[in-house]
Amino acid sequence: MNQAIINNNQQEWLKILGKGMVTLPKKWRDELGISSGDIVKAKKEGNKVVIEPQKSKLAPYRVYSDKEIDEFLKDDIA
Amino acid sequence: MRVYFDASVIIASILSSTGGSSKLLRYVKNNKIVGITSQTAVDEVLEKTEKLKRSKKVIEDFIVKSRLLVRKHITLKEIEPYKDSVHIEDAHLIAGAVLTKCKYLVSLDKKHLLREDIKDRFLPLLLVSPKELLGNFK
Repeated sequence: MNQAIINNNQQEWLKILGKGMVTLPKKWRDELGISSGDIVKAKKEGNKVVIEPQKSKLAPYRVYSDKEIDEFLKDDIA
Repeated sequence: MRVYFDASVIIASILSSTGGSSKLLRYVKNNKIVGITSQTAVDEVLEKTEKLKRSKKVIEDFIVKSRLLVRKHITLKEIEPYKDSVHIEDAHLIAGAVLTKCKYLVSLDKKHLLREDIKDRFLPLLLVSPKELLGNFK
């Protein structure tokens, strides 16, 4: 059953079903890499509820040290 | 010509307007090259707000104005083919460059990426420094 009532780009009205269940639009699930059975983080922020996918689904990245950045600048010859 | 930018080049272009990285970004602005990066690389840049002495908002605006095309986050699934051939923290760069069909991956990271063994491993993708890439325009 499609619960999305109004679509406004990044905003949807969703119907709350029994026991508070809600269906995230498929497009959002695909964009965020959320699949059936995944655990997502839900946060209550004031009068909002924010749902975040697990970051662990994303590729890790390097955090350069300040010293490494200084070396990049030295090597960055035009 | 499609060029994939890693975080080191974006960081250097923020810190210096006269280096090779800034010159490359000017080529992106002038449509001489198509500059591509990913939200993963942008996150990497945003980790260094203190060193860059700029707020997250200013850095994000810089990236928007640079006209770099920012691909969505690279996922663990997407780095799977590369994670055993390069350090896992750099695999997103190879995956991003291949997924966005870039000919070049430009970086200033000599320690982890601009090494002959790593360069040979990912051919035909060309791992180059800004200086090497700029040499193509002379």
